[in-house]
Amino acid sequence: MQMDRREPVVVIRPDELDETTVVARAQDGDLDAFEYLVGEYQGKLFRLAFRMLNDRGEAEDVVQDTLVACWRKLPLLTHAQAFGGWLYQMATNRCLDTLRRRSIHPETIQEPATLEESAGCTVSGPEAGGDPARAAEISLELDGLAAALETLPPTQRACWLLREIHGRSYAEIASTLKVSEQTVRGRLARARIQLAEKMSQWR
Amino acid sequence: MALDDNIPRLGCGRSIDEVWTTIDQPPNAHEQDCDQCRTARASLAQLSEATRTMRGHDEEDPGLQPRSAVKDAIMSLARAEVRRGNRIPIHQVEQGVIEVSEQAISTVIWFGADALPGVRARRCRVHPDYPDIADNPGPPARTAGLTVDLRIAVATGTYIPEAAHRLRQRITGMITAHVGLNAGTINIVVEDLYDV
Amino acid sequence: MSERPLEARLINSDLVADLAARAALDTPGVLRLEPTLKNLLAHLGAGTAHILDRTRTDSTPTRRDGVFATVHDGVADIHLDIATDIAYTALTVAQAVRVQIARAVSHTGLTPGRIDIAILAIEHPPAATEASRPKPV
Repeated sequence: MQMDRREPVVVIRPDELDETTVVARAQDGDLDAFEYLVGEYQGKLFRLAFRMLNDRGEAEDVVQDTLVACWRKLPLLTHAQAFGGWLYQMATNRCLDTLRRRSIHPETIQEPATLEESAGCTVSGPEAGGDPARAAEISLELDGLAAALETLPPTQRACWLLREIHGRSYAEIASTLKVSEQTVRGRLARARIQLAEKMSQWR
Repeated sequence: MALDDNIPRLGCGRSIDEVWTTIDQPPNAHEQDCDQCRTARASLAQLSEATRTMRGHDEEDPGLQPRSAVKDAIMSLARAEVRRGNRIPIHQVEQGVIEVSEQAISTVIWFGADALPGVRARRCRVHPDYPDIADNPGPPARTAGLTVDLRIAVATGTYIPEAAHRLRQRITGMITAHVGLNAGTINIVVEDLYDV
Repeated sequence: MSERPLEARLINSDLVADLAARAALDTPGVLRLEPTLKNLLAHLGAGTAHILDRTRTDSTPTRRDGVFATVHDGVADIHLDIATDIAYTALTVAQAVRVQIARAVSHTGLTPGRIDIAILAIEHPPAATEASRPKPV
């Protein structure tokens, strides 16, 4: 009864499938599918949380909490196509909760950290092209924007990051923050004004 | 939050959104003459540039990833809480029962479907054809058959009846060969199309 | 404790669980034993009930990762959760496991009782990269 073990084995990896199929299999308990999704989203969620919270440790907590909750609640997700938006929603709400806790316990307020200090990274990526002057300029631009972001009210910051850095739709952001799309547009416009003003001061 | 809904306007009456959406275009006649528009355009252009930089930089920066311990922790928890679905009794004799998890059978079905071009197997439910098998122990040995409910996506341009026929044959073959059971009924629902 | 029959002290459920695990892992097509949290709790529950039911016997349930064994009145009952290799027929593998375990239990002098097997996963074995990897010079 043993199978012919020389039968050609076609193993399709999750990255060869569309995301909705991978999500559906993860919903039915496929750990390989889930692990692929963790790999796909952990960086995105970390970048959102890091820019929301400006703290690596807290950002990692948000990523871990979100993806653990994701595994537990996956069977309840009715539209596998909505997976990405659902994850962003859970992560955003965790970030906002963290900020709320900070405002209740103000002793945990962070020193505004520049990217280099907190992320341990240097700006020498491809966009600098090995040009030290351009790298310095990028570094200044990033620090200026990051510092300006810190001054935004949390929900405005979430609106701005979700739309401008993560490219999420107005409808999705509205449903994440439980407000109308018009409110999202209003908050975004206000966020842009404040960021632009702060950055001019920075320079 | 009605206040939140308003798009702020410059003193000249132009809305910030109008300025923002045309930031990459040359200034119009009004914007060339209006001081407020010129100032707003300059600072928004600077923001737009910085936004682009952050978008590109953050995505590429290896420092803006969680440590590998985070993924390890997530996966060990998922493994500890793994969902195998229902356990289906498939063989019952006096000496004991053999069960197989719904998830194990789904794995076999997905694996079989993956070998067929133009078809992607998604959610899968499996039921025993003899749900009472566990309640009727004793010889002669009984082996269950299975009913499979499978949702699939097909590639655009696929002739669906033929694809479904091939998929049914494939699943029947896979369940016989890899699980050791008969698949009685295989219900297939096409829920989506995908582009190739 | 000292009132237990000699046999129970000679061969306890720990040993039976070990034997069953070894017999299963030696059966071709078995990838591993498959412990799960839910299982563990379910079996702990069942085990507790067992103990209460049989307070006058020598039953002491033992669970290993993926194996659960009880011994009472010279009879060993075993439950086993396994993952099998997709290259094999899972039901055939499970039946072979049962035969192997029954044989191993018989060698202890105990009588094999119920041997329940749950196939929780059917998978490809982890890629055999070790063999193809060039040896360091």
